[in-house]
Parts: sequence; structure tokens; C-alpha cells
Amino acid sequence: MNGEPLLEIKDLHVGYKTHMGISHVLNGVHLTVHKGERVGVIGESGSGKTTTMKSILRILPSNAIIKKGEIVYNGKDVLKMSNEELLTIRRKKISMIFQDPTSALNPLFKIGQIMLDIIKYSYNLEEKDAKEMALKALKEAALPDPERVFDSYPFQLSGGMRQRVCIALALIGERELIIADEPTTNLDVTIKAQVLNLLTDLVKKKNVGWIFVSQALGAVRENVDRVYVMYAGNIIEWGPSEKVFSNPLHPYTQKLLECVPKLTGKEFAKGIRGRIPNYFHPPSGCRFHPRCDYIMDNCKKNIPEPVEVEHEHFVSCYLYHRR
Amino acid sequence: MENEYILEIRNLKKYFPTPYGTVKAVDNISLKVKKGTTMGLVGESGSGKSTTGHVVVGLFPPTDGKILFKGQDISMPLERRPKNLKRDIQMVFQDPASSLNPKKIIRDIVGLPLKVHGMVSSREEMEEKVSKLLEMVELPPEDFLYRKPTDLGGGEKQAVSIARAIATNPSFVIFDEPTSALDVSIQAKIINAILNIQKEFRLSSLFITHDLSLMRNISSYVAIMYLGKICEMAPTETFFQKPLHPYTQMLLSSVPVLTKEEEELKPKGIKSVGEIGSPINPPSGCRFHPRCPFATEICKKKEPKLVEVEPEHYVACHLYSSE
Repeated sequence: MNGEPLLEIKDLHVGYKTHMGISHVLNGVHLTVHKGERVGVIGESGSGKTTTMKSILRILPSNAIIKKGEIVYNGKDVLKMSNEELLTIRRKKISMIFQDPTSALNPLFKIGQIMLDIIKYSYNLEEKDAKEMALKALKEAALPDPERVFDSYPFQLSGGMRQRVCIALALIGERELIIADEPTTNLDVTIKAQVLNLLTDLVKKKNVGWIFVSQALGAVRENVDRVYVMYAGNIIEWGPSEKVFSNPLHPYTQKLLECVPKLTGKEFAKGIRGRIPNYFHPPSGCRFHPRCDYIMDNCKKNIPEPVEVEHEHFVSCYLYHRR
Repeated sequence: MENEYILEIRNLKKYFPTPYGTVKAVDNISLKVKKGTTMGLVGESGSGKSTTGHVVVGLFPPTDGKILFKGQDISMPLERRPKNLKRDIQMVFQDPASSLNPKKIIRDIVGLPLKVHGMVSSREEMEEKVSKLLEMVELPPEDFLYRKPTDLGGGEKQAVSIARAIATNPSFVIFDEPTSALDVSIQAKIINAILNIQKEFRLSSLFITHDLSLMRNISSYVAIMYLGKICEMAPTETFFQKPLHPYTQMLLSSVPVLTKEEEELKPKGIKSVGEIGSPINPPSGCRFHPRCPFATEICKKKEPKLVEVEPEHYVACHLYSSE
């Protein structure tokens, strides 16, 4: 990818203060999104995907501590921004779509009211213009009968429609980056496909940057340009989507892909032994080493530097250091 | 004479009265499960797949219709079910966290059915049997026997539920989405445990899921449900080679996949549209007709019958009926 990155996360370390001590979740996460690029982030639950995303908008819970790192958005560090600047970014530049559309929409207000509030507040528009903008957004999100949706309460809509409303909200105005955190996990298979198609189409059409976070590996593969694989608070492998999925390099990525049941019904994998580490006392060195089949001495001591194995396809693993 | 079918469901109906009207969760379905095989029941939310499982295990009495287990009618309410039937039919639920008593230790949870059915006479014997069961689901007994469910991860809890279900040596187990709450790497472990147990005990089972790829790997027969009806039923191999019902094709085309080989299995030229109808007021005629690209006049008026189009391959669609 050429050109200036839209968003660049560098060496991000985030932990959470709890009554049991500090849990060291993110351990040097990095991520780059260019303008109009579709980027996928995959990993299992507890790997730090959501923490990373929430750091970008600085909407982490109050017990989170950002220990180190930079999140550069359009040349400015989000972590050093004033409240004022941060609000502009949240209102007009970056938006987020959450996993559960039901809890993302206030049940006491009609969809129209929710949208109008946001639009009026962010863009200083008159009621009439704001409504026009809202209806246009609903229409773009392929909601049949936008007027009716505008006049409904969230509970009157189905799960798929609610998520479409959230997509409409996320794409209002001139957004530059959309973060979708497991946007289709709660939906049915056929509805999932519809919502995902809609989202990809809109992202392409509007040429906005898109971070698609998901555990559904197949869905990520089919919809993004580049993909990052996360394990226990680290990015362990990244590269063009086609390359990562057809030629996974990191032992974890390889195992993870094997674990996904295939439509062709081929041999079923045995799973990965052990479980995601305890973040209060994370393993030293490469955090995957206690579960890895190819463990070497070095793995326990140091975090492996990334290696570019093929064009733009990187991996953080000592297995590839000797070559 | 030995009966070939362990479970036969004939014209089963289960209606739930609600203040808004009657929910026809399961509406006149018939299916048979051969001894030693796994029948996969696939459908999206509201299709009635879980209700079917619950009726078979006896959680609700059927509104109408018959359930034959080893040739014996078991459609009576749970209180009147003979105890040996309860021993012989077991169930694994979707959410392991809410199906295990958080205050009890694993030994007592898995040991309870043994005690209830008088299969052990002393505590030592129980402990020994429970240890064997835990080994079968790959939980080392020395680590797990005295722990409580709250100390375990999701996958481990589900393994405990499976150990409890097979404790009484049942001949039929219903798995109700046992892995839908788990990560893929853990899902692989649990599925492997289930596959091993099925082989070892020559278990027959009903496996309920919304994941077609998983179904492919685990079941010998597949039944697809939509809004309380079965729309297609076939041996797994045939089913994936030749999906007939338009809904089945839509479902298959919506599955995100990881490899090129799998992509070839997905039906082309059909796209997911529309939303699942309401089970209170389902569409007339064929319940799928509002979403079906091939719908004709007859589909709106007449309900298609489930017909056998080739040996053991049943489909309920006007496209395939001779009339």
C-alpha cells in the first residue's frame, strides 16, 4: 500500500487495573490502515481485539491504563489530543459499530430521535436538514421503508435491521474510518451475509478506511484487503488477506485455521492445547510459547522481531529467523 | 424384531400460547434417526430446532404428534416418563455456564445422575466412575474432580456437561448447539471429544446447530428447518453435493469459507434476501416464499409436502413436486 497511513498504532501497551493486580493485556500492538483500505483483525476471545479498537477512540473503561505507545491518526497522536479534538474525531471522522445492536441503541428513543440528536449535535443542522440526512443514511443502509424505521423504537425492529441502523449511523457524514467490532456475530447466517455485503459495499463506495474485527475467519477472508492476527495482546502475523489465509506462517495461525470446520468435511483438527494465558502473569518472551509445538530456547526469553517472509507478509516467530 | 430407528418423530407439533398469539414453534414435522447415527438439525433462530430437541428430551410435552423411542411412545409429560427413559435420553445444552450448578464441585455434578439412577453404591465407586468419565472428555480428574464450575473456562465447562450427559450410559444424546458459545480452537476440542464418545458408546444423537460446516463434519444425516417446518432432509454427502431447496441453497451460499475448494461447494446465483418471518403469523403456503427467488403463485397458496426426490433425499418445495 502506498501513501500516508490514515491510522497508525505503534507499540501499544494497555493494561487493566483490577483487585487482583494489573492485567497486562496489550503487549506492543501495531496496526496500520491506509485511506480506503479494508483491514481485518482476527483472534480468539480475550486476545485484546476490542481493547485495541477501544483505545483508538479512547473509550476504554476507567480502570484501563495506557502504558506506552502511539495512535497516530492523520499525523496526530490520539493519545495526546485535547478533549475538544477528540470529540471532533469521534463525531465526524471515526465511528464504531458494536457487536450487539440492541444495546447500542437506546430503547427509550425512536430511531429517528437517536439519529437526529447525533446529527444535530455533530453538524449544527436545522431539524429539517438533519432529518433529510438521517433518511438518506437509512436508505443507503438498504432499509426498506426508511420513514417507518425512522419512526420506530429499536424493539420494533429485527436484529438485522437494528444492525443496519447502526451501520447507517456509523456512515453518516464524511467519515474516514469505520471500526466494526464483530458486527455480525449476533445475527443469523443468512442475515449475517446480507449485513456484511451491505457493509463492504458501502465501505467501498464511500472509500473509507475499515477495520473489521471478528472471530469469524471466513467472513474476514472474504471481505478485507489485509489482515492482522492477534494472540494474547500481540500481533503475531499480518499481510494481504489472500496470502495469510492460503499460506499461514505462525504456528498459532496455522492451528487456528485448521480448527475451523470445513464445508468439504475434511479431517477435523484436534484443537490447540492449553488456553489463552493469564494476563496477570503472562508468559515471558513469545506469549504463545507454552502452547507451541516448535518451541525453542529463544522463544521463552525474547519477543521475536517481525520478519517479512513474502512480499508484505510478516510474521513474529523465531522459526523464520534463521532463513 | 430389532427396530432400525432409535427415534421416530411423527407429525410433531409444539405450540406456545402467548399474549400476542400462538407461536407455532414446531409445526408438523416428522423425522427418523437410525441407530448409531447422528441426525443434524440445522436452522436459524426461530426455526424450532431447539424446541424439537426439548420436546424429545421431555422438557415440554408435545401439543400434538408422536415421539417413538425404540418403538415406545414417549410423548407423555416428563413427570410421567419412566425413570429408565430419563437415563437413556440425555441432553447437552448450549450454555455450559448456566447448566452447571456453580456451588457444586465437578465430582458431585457429574456424579448426581449416577446416584439418582442407583448406578453407584458408595462414594468411592462414584469417584472412580466420575474420574473415568472426566478422562473421556480429556479433563485430568486429579485437577478437576474437586473444582467448581466457576473456576473453569467455557470449553472445560462444556466438557463437564458432556461427561454428565454420558454418565448414565445413555443410548441417545441431544446436543443443543454445544459449541456455539466457544472459540474455534476450543470448539475443535469439544467436537473431537464428542466424536470419540459417539464411536466408543455407539451413541445415536440429535445434533442441533446453525453451523453447516460443523454439521458436515459431525452428522450422517441432515435436516434443515425453517419456521417450524422441515424443508429438506438427506444423508450428509448427498445433501452437500446436491442441495435442492432454495432456502438450503441460500443458507449454504451465506456460509463464509476459508478455502477455494469450499467456495466451489457454495451454490452460485442465489443471494440472501429478506428476513425470517414471524412464527406467530407465518407466511401462507410455503413459509419461505417471500424470500424465495423462484416463488410462483402456487407457493403463496399451497403448502408444499415433503417428498422423496431420490432415495432418502426429501425436500418440501413446489419446484420438485410432480403436481
